[in-house]
Amino acid sequence: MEIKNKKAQAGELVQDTVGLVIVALLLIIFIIISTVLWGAPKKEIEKIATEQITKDQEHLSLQAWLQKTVEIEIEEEKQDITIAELIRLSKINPIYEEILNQEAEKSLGIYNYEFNKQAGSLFYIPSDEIITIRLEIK
Amino acid sequence: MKIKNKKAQAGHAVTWLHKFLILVIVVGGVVAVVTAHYSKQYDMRDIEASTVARNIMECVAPNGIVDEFSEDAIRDCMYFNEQEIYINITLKNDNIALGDEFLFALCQAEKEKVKVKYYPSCLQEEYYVLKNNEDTKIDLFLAIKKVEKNL
Repeated sequence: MEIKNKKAQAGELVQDTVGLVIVALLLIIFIIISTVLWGAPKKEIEKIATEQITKDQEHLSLQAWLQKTVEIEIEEEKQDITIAELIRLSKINPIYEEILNQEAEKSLGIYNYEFNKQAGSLFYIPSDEIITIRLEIK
Repeated sequence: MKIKNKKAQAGHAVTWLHKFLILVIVVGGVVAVVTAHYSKQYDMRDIEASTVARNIMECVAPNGIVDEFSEDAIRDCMYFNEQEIYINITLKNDNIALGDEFLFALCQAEKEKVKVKYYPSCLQEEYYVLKNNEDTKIDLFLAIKKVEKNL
């Protein structure tokens, strides 16, 4: 209904404004009292995790192991070679595979090595064929 | 319709302002409630911890070979805020502890399920590296507080 009296119009406007302010105040008081009584609402915290640390760990441990020098007998002659070279030898001659496994047991702690192209720490060892190696937890 | 009376014009402006105010309050209220309901905090500190761990290992054992194992080597190699972080590295019988040790106690509290308002992000890792061509295990413990910054 449209009010034609100007004073009545102004009165209605003031009434609406006062009503609005009272509602807002009541809401604020309600929020304050509920926070004091029951505490602020708990916000959910989502943890963002990454597997990068595990990969770094495997990567560094594998990199260190591949550079380790071991003394082995090749054609009745003792020679110092790195694990990377021993891996290449083991691919040519299976006799060296056992030595490689013994060295892995000694050095890699919680890990085993495996030759595959799965996601994770990968090393391509230069050879006639591409040798891919990674670590996995025992 | 054009209003010619000045008082009527003023009255019209006040009414319009009043309506606009109500609209702002209602829309603002809806936005505030929806935001409060659907927003959540993200804890980035685990990612930060893994990056810091990698940096530490690059300082201590670049390419997996232990070069220099000392507090100074780590301090010279990377910057970190000692009030926000705790680093504990053990290599055989040598141990280096840097930063706020209280964070370690808070990590223990989290393990034992003691209620604390905010826990630090805790990381425990082991690496197998070479020192003088010998297999050596490095135990790394890292705690990051950064409650105000990354939580």
